[in-house]
Amino acid sequence: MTATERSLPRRVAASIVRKPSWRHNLGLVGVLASKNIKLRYKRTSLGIAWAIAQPLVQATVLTVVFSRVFGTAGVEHFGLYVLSGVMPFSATSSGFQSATVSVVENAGLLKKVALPRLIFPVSAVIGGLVPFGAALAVLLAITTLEGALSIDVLLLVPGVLLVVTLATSAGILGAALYVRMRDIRFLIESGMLLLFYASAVFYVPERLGGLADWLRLNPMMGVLTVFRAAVTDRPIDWTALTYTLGLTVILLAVGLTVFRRRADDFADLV
Amino acid sequence: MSAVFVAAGVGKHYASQRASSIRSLLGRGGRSDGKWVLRGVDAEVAPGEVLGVIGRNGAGKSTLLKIAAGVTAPTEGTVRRPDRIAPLIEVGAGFHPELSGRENVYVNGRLLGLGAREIAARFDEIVEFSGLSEMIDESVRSYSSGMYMRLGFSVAIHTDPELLIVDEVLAVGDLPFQAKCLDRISELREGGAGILFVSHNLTAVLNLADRAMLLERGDVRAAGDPYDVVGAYHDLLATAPRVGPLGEDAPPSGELRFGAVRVLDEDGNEPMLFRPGQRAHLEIDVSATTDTPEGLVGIRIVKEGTGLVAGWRADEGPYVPSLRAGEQVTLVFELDLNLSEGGYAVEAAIARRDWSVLMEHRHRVAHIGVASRPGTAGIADVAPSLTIRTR
Repeated sequence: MTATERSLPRRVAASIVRKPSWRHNLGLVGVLASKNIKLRYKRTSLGIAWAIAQPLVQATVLTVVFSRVFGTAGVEHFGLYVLSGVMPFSATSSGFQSATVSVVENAGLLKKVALPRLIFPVSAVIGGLVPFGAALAVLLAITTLEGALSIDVLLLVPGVLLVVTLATSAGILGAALYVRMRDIRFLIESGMLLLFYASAVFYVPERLGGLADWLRLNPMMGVLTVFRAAVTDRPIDWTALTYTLGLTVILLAVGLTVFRRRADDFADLV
Repeated sequence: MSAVFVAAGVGKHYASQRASSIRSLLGRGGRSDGKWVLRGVDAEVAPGEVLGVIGRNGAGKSTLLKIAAGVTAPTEGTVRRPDRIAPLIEVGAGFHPELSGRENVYVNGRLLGLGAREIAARFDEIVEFSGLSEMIDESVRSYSSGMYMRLGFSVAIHTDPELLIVDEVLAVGDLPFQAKCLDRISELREGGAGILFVSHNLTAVLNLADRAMLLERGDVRAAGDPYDVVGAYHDLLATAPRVGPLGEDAPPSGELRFGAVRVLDEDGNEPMLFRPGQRAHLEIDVSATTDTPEGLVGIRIVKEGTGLVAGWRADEGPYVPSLRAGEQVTLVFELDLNLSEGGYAVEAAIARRDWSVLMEHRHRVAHIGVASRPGTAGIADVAPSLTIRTR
């Protein structure tokens, strides 16, 4: 009887991941995240200053374009409205996308060292917090300049937590799928573009009339409403937020399940 | 002390490419086809012990190393591994070319299990060992591949590993660096680290391993004393493909029969491995099953993958005398084994004087293992020497 003819037994092997030590694993996430950040600004002459410069340029362009060219759509602080949409959107989107490719991009490490696999997508999202934090600093500065600063800015804290959780949850699922199906990357890129236009980033949802309710199927709406409540006087859209929270929990559960089931085979597939 | 590495009944199954459907993604179905690259493997490495793993390409050696390193999970069976492992496989694989040597040492050290303080404490030692002090703040991109490996090696062997996993390791760096690595490895070994290593260099296995294991198509073919295992490997290699008939390919008449065979060195011992160039005595007992005429003797030396290495027919005699049924003679060949490392099969035949009928013919009456001479390549060993004459 040849080896291939024997039937497959049930998996009895213990997981290859060493006994969990949260402190150790968090340390590894920190190491990888700071490596990502260092790499991001390596060989640039401005270095980490780009983290501030980039959102500044973005804010200036968007404010000029939307207040001078398209008009303000009757919204006070329209520049703030647009920025508080663009910034969390791009943070979520880039966190999600870099987490998705993180496992494959770390193939060299993965094939050599026994590391808990989850540290790759998690550190990819955490590493993105530096540019996001810088962008929020710019946002805060503009809010202050515009005289729109209020106690509501504290909402930025749960807002950031929501961005991290959503990007991580989606990224874990994305990473588990991307190892096997490289098409995922392009699907996600196209999907995020679609979501961008369905997210009322540079228009107010009310302009869509009855269609506005459909926008809430887009989980990004729940993220954006928190940031907008923080820096403009728009109230939180609790329906959208609840939906987004629910979806995040589901994504996290599904993502972790698929990821855990596949993690032991990553080294053979990347 | 208990073993630093234990594999019990370990098997690894790879699904075929075709099976990578959405269904298998969800973990069900699609797993019936594919291939077992390891099956029922038991292995153990005690503290301070060196286990050498040998086998042909595709025998499952690398998969076993990956399982030991913990980067891939066995499909069945259980594995016990220590927390601190130094995988000396593709050393420096985790290095990022854009980061400096210093940053890479830090990241790599952390990933290999060192704490931040531990790295800080032994950073100088790591850099010193690698001999890269002057370049440590330059990005690794500017390193040569040798420097890259030296740094990777340095980090890995400064992590207080309980188990070292080594894949043809000493192809790293120049000779002085290799010597330094060997010293460091034996230090670690004296300190209780176990070593699991894979090598195609059988001489290295004989010199370094306390025990050895032979893998063939995912199965353990032999395990235990390195000499026995290397011998088993030579047996395996010597099952060489047929390279055409020694005379005619007709089955021998069976008038004569080969009996016991001995491959001896000058002192009459049967060594597991001969040195290149060593003179071997090959003795083959022959008995007659019936009354036979005079016989002409021929032998060939055949190597797997290469084919015929040498052949000789004793056309000038001596001849096997005509025998009565039941009578016995012994053929004694003396050969200079000017051969490179490997396992060789000896094919032998006795035919009528005019080579018209084969009376006995065996493709593999014996195997001869030859050890390597450092630095040689090819199938022949020409006993090279070098003197450099100065004016």
